[in-house]
Amino acid sequence: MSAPLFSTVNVDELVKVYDRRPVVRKVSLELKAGELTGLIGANGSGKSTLLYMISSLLPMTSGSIRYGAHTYADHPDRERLRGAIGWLAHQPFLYPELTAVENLQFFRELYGSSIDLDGVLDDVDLFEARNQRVRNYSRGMLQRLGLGRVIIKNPTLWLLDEPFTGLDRQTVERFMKMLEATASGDRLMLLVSHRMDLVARLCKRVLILSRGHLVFDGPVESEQQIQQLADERF
Amino acid sequence: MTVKNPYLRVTLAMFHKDFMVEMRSREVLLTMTFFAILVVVVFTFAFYVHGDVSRQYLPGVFWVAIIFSGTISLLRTFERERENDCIRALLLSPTPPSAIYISKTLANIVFTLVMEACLVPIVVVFFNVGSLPDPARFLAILFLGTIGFCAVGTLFSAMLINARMKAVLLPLIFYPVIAPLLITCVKATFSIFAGGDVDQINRWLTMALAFDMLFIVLGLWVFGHLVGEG
Repeated sequence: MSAPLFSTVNVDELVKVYDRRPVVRKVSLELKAGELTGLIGANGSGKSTLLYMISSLLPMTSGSIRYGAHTYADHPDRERLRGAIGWLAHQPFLYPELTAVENLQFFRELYGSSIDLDGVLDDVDLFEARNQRVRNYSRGMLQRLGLGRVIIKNPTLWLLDEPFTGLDRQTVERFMKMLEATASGDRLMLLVSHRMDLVARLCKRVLILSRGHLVFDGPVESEQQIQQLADERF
Repeated sequence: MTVKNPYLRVTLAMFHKDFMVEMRSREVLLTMTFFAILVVVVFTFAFYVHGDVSRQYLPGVFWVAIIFSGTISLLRTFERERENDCIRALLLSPTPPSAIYISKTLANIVFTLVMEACLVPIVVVFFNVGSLPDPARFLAILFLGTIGFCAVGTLFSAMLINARMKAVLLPLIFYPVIAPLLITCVKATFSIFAGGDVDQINRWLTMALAFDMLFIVLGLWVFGHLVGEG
């Protein structure tokens, strides 16, 4: 397992304005290694924009994001920093014309990893289907292969944007166990999901975003508590 | 064979991926070759008078067919990355953006050269060209023209990655930029087929080479900013 590049992410007074319309308004938060943090909010509350900015792919209007001691702009090795950020979203970022094993081979080269692909395919339960073209995969298989892509990368910061969409119960269970095992180490994880039950099970800390404002940042214990917080603050 | 240099390894991996995807779908190669042949056939019927006269139109028709059909490949360059949001996975990797630019340009060059390999014999037959007077210089201008076309086109294609009307915008902003290269290639091809002055042909070749170098350096420099380096 590669060493983490940083152990904290500090977001300070982050603002994003699209066409004079503020989408994220002065959000400050900290992500720490070994912690799986949940981010919830109504549609259009700015969750995906916030994630996009934390990934370094979307420039902010004002504010700053520090990955350990550096921002993206002043980082001495920006490519290495980008390599330490993993994103698993509803879209699995895969090439439909290639087989599962060809997709993973490509990403292994891209990420400079030497991980055993058969092991990864086994972990995501796709070993039998490894030579099928990804265009023939079901939604759940695509999502599992997307997870395989992130496992190969083994990033320091995991950005999970609705990763459970389209997955059946057994797959969600396996997926959650894997995330829990990874998050308990030295990785940082930020999970965006509308599934309050899953957020409650996985995350000890929850952030609530409402109309671009961070309206709650604290520990949670149950799904009911999250639901109550959401009802009050969305 | 294992490539030790990480930059080269990643560049080749991306080129190999693009090549495999194209070999499976064949959407770019088939479409551009068919379109190029169609352009040549239409112009042949429009301009054909007799051998000597129609040969004067050959360089223009040949390069117009390459530019028009090559645009199909350029339009698809980043479309495959955008369709499944794979561009995000590419950018969130330790890969230098210039490696993405080189691999994409390389893929476009290879696809365009394959199309040209099909087009040249058809042009030779349709325009009744007995034999190539100076095959080495003809190949040189073909390569230099293709490299310049793809180097600039890949850059503009990246610039329009998120544009809604990229099929309309790309030719509008791209064709004026490559006009000097296109004129150089047409003039050089005309001189080669007319058995013109070798020094003059060499000057056209030098101009094409200078254009290529200028835009490759520019591409390596600005590509990261165009695709959202942040």
